[in-house]
Amino acid sequence: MRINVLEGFRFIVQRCFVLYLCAGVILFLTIDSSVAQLNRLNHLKQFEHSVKSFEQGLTPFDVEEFRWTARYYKELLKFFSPNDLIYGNLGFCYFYLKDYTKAMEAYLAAIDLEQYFYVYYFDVGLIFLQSGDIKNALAFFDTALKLLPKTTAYYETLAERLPDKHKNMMGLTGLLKKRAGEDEAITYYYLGLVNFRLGDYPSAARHLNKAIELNPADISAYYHRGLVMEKLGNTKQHQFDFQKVKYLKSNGVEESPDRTKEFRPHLNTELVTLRYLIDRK
Amino acid sequence: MRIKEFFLSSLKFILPFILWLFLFKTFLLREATIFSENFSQYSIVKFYLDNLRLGVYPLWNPFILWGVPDTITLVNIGPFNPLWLLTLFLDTIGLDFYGAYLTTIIVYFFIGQIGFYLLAKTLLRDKVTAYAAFIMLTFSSISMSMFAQYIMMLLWVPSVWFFYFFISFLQTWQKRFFIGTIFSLMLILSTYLPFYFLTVFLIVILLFLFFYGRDFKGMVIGAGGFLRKNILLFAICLGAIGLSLFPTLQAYRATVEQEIVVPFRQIEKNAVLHQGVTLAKYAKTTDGAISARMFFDDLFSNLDQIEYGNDGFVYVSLFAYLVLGLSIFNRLTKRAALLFLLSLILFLISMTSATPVHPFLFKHVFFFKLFRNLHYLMPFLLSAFVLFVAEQLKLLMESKSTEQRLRWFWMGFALAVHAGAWVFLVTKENVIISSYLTIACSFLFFFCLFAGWIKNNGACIYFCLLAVIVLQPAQVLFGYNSQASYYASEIISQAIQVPPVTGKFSFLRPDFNQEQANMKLSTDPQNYFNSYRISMADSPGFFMPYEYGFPTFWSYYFSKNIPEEVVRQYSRYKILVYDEVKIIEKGQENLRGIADALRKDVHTAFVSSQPGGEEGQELSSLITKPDQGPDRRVMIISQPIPELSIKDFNVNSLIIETQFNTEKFLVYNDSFDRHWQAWINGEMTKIYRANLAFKGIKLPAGRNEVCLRYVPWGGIALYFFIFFVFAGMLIALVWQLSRGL
Repeated sequence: MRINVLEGFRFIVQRCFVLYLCAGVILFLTIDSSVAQLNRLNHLKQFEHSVKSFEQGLTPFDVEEFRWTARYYKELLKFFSPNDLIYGNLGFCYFYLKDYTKAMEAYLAAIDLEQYFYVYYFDVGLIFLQSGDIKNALAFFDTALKLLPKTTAYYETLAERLPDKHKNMMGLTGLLKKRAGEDEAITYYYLGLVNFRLGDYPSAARHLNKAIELNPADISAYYHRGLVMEKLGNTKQHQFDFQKVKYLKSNGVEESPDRTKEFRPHLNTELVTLRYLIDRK
Repeated sequence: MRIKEFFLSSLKFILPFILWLFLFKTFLLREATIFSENFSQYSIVKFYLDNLRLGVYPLWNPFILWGVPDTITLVNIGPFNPLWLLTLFLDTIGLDFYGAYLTTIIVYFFIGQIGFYLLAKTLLRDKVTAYAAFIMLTFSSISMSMFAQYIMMLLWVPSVWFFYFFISFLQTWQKRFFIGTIFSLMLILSTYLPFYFLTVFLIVILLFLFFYGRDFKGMVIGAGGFLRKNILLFAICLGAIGLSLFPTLQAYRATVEQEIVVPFRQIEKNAVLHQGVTLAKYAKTTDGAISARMFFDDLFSNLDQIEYGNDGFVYVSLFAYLVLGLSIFNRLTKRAALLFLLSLILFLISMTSATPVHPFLFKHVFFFKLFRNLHYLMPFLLSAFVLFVAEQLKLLMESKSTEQRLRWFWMGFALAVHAGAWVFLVTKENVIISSYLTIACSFLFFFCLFAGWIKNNGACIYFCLLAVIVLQPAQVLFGYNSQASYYASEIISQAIQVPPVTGKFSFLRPDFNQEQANMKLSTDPQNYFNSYRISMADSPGFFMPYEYGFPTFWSYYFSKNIPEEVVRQYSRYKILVYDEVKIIEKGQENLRGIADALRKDVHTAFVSSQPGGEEGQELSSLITKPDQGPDRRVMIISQPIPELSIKDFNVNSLIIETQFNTEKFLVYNDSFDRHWQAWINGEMTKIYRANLAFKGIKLPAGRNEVCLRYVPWGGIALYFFIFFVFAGMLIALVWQLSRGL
């Protein structure tokens, strides 16, 4: 009996699964999975600055950089609690990778988590605009405009909540507020343009008026308002707007050839930094 | 009968290679280009071969970073590897250079895979499982990383052959295997850093002593007997190894003595000038190696989305894991334990900071401070793992029983393992379809094998193994290569079209403006840098956002300590002629004053000197006289003039003809390096370190022929000699091997 037990033990010990078990224990004891995950995330993050640089119009688009960065945001979502900013940034990557379905999914997930941040509505509006769904685009742009004051107030709160040692980062909130202001003007311009194409000239005029009020150097807004005024029979205003276009051009203000290219969705890296600094306080 | 056998045995290798070429057709058809890292190696190869074609062994590269020693860069590609002669040959017979390069690296990869098959066959003593190992490795991430990063292959191929020859030598004590071992070792020692191989070799030796300690005495006796019989051969081989180590040691010495600096290795920029090549801080040692390049789930998930350029990704056919699953009741052999532990240790080291193993080695084993790309161990890790899997497969195939009850057990067990694997995959996200197909085919294979319907030998088993192993990798590699075609770099696309060049001297360097360049930040700066090596044209110098390369200490010092606008303006011109010099002793450099003088183009050159040095005496006739006004300007030469012209130029030397009425001090804005020598009208003269970082020569009045030449220890002759020693060893090896056939 004793011999049988010993033989049985020897048989078991001499099997490969013992080796696998030992390896499993060694791996379990030695691998710090959080460090491994961070290593991977840091590696994927390496192209985020290139994507940011593209968003700022400094470097050309590169599909590989966007793929890596989209993967980075996807993996971030696995390891951290759901975060609207990560979804938003993921949507940004998919937008440029021309995967509008996934971009929409990401933005809608961001909106689910944060319903008062104008940026996501703005970016969803842009996706609708790209796909020719004017009605939905208008609706999302409208919501974005309504939420803009709240977001601007939120940026101010962030600035106040920044820890003293990071007060030098307040410039970032200024940057975000500036961008919000630009977005507001651009959205009015777009609303004006879309209404003009839909033949709703009074609405188009109202929105373009607001766009010009927010950005008095917007050549395209003057140009399109001139066209709207022509349709409305307001010759005086029509001539004024076209003269204004000539005047601005002669003063070196450049007209963007295609405003849709200029109208970029948002990569919210500044906000990520600010929130991180505040949460870590 | 023999012809049929030969045909079948050839076909079993030709088929997978054809399939491999088909899967990688995007590269062959130029729909995808090599990635930045491989492009860097391409640029080194092209620079090297373009110069060899001219009869020049390139020891210096005057085109980048204001001139750098090239020997350390060449070590990246293993310049003595006869492999590169194939590129030269293919290019000479009409293939374009890029095509010749691609063909060469693919051929070398296949040579490595054949070596691995022979190694597996020697170790496992079984042709079928050796073949399975060969297929698994050929279609693993080793081949994926090839177009992204070729250094790994340059390290791995000779290492595989080394282990094959070494083990065969220990088994047979034959001369041919000894020569093969030495030749492989020479290739390893002369290519990049030998520490990756050293790590693997030391682990193998330790494990071998642990498991086979009793056999060690017999081996020592056998080796002693071989040496006594072949003492002359041993001495020659020892000499050859010494020679092959020479360039690597020279490169190491240059970094230790800070003739060159290695900016990308140090964290703080100011540390570059003090810390040399040794990695002082762990943080900079590694970016996480394998742990940074994949998650555990990536072994099974998202295999259709592997990023092109991810050179540390570990992938092997799902079939390997199924074999592991089936092997749990296999008998544990010493060989299996050795291979498994080797894989495990390499894996733990490759995880770098995610386990305590690499930090420990970094702290306590000196050579771990000298290398940092731990993901270069990936091919070694995969090789050991695949050999272990093949050993398990062999045991499984041997476990076939004639007893019906046991047959049913194994067939049932195969079903359970494969069903378990299926369930496991279902829980994972984005599993590719071929993974499930592999499980189904693998089940069929093992079911038939255990039922005794497939014979262990014969063509059928080879075909079955090929099909079941390659099924999943085919989809993975197809997806990976499709991803690769999205990678587009205009710089690379243009540079690979550059034909062989001769390299010409120009008096001016181009300027560079990052903002105007509109570069992709991630890879373009590196590609831009390397493109100058390819075209053998002057690069702007230090103004690119790229810290790679090995600049000379003083050039780097100059670029970091003189204001950028002065550096930009000054370094555009290569040749300046001064009327006067000012001696500046070490430690008394007034950098602001020097920058100001360079900005204003004053007529005084600054000559560096050690305290109490002889420079003051030697240049006394040119030393600044206070009575001469400050308005005079340096003579900037931007094109040939009657007083100065270039007579001859190659990367290692320059001959200038001058004719000035008065004595002058000529500054050649090419990095100062103590191994440069100068002759005026055939008489050796001294080269001074002028304007902090460049070469200065005292020119007598009248007509002169000034010859400047880079002559590191041993000179060109030694490097050509080493080259021929390598070629000689290869010929001896081929001759010996052919005798054994």
